[in-house]
Amino acid sequence: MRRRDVMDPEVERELAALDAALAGETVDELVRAVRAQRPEIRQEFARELDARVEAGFGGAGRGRRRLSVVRVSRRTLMPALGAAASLLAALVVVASLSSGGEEMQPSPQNAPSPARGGTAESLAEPSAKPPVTPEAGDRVVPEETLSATGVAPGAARRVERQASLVLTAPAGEVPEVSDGVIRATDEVGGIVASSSVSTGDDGRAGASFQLRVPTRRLDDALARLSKLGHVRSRTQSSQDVTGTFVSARERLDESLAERKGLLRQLAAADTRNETASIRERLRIVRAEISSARASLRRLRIRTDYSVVGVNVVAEGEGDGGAGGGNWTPRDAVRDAVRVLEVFAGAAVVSLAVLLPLGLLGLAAAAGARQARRRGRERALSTG
Amino acid sequence: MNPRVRRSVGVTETLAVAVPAQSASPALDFDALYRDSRDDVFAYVAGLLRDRSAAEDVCAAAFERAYRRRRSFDARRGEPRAWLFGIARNAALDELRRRRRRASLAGDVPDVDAVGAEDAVEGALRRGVVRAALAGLEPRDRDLVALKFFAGLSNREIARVLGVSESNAGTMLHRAVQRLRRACDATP
Repeated sequence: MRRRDVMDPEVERELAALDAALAGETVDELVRAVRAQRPEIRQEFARELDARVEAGFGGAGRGRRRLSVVRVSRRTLMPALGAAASLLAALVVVASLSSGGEEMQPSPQNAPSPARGGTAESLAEPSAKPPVTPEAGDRVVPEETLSATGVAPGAARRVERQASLVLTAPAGEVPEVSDGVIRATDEVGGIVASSSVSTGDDGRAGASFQLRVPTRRLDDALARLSKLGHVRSRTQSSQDVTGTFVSARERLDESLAERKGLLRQLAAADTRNETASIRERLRIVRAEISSARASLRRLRIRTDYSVVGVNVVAEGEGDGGAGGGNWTPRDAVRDAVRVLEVFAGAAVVSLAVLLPLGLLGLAAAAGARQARRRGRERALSTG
Repeated sequence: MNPRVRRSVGVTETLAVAVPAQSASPALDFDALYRDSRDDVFAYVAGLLRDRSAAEDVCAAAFERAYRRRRSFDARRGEPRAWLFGIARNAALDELRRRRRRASLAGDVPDVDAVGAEDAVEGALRRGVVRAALAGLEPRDRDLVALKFFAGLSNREIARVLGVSESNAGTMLHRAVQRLRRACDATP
């Protein structure tokens, strides 16, 4: 609690008496004697000073006017800086909120379902091995029997296929189209390897998918996907990898045959050295078999499942930029918001640097001022 | 409906006087302040420094400093005289500090020119006693006496100049005057 600023009544009375004596209302010898000691100004000096004042001290006031303004504004510097920082932060938040929605990658909705065999691995690496399910219609065949079942003489060639599709839809329908993409993928026995869906009320809404679709149902899948929206572009490519596949299969067959022979030799081996030598050779052959199997597995996945990229773009998105078309007032507003975002961000970063420096400067100035004041008071104390 | 009530009767003449507009922080009339305070500022500074020549320099510097800063004057923070005497006091203290570097203030010789004309022996003796008592005062007390007796500042203005509360300033002034009285009584 603050102490009341009260003066001793006795002191107050004496001060009142002093004031009365100074005003000539009462007589106090000491007051009169001290007043008589009052130094009078020299008339010559008074005239000089009058002239200097009349001349404005040689324009001293004009030259320092700017400093005076700085001094005045420094008092309000802190609140002004705080207000500016708050305003800019609010501006950034508002601009960010108004410029679009949130990124979802992947969302529980569009992530591959465990039932569909989707795994974290498949999401992280689009080219990773998609799990083979009975529903996909692809039987898991032992590698040793591939020569009999995988690439039988006269069988279809091994072709790796890729497709990409760009669909446009109204911004409000992007989520529905995205659901349709996932649904169509499920229906053809494919999986969603990765997805990214942006929602927003303006033209920034959109989605992108990386799908793995059974190659034998690729055309069916593309047909289903194309019905979900307006097809802006559709591209397909294929690469025949039959030669690579056959080569890998032959390497595997040779390794398997060699392993079989080595096993026979091992059974018939008499000496310890002979046994050791055969075991070492078996170790090498097993590694070759493993490598050949992996190559075959990768090739089979690449040919059995086609990579399909689907981009869903909100109608109007990119019309003013890369997509061509007219630059509409809406585009102008969007660009203006982005410019404001960048400007506000830069300003906030600048403030983040300048504000602490300014605070340090103010603290230093206050300290220097206090030190100067103490120095002056010391002149009275020790003088 | 309320009938109109006549508040004045028998009015035969109306005088309209323009009321000057009052702003929150009126601009400082430096010329008026200078005219009102010039002699007081000099008397205060000379009383504090006890050196007429240095007092003239400090007085001129104080007015120049005030003139330069006249736009930063804020009426809400005090009266113009208190603001001006604050500047003058700072200038005088700066001078004291400079002098302290050269020589001790205690060794200063009182400025005989500062003494008024002596027209009577008794008065001269009395003034001599007071002058000696003033010279023997601590600088801080002399500062207060100069502000009160030479510059004619009110206790409130003194408080503003010193940057203390009004009651604190009054108490300090009271003690300074007491010490001055004791010094006068003690001087033979």
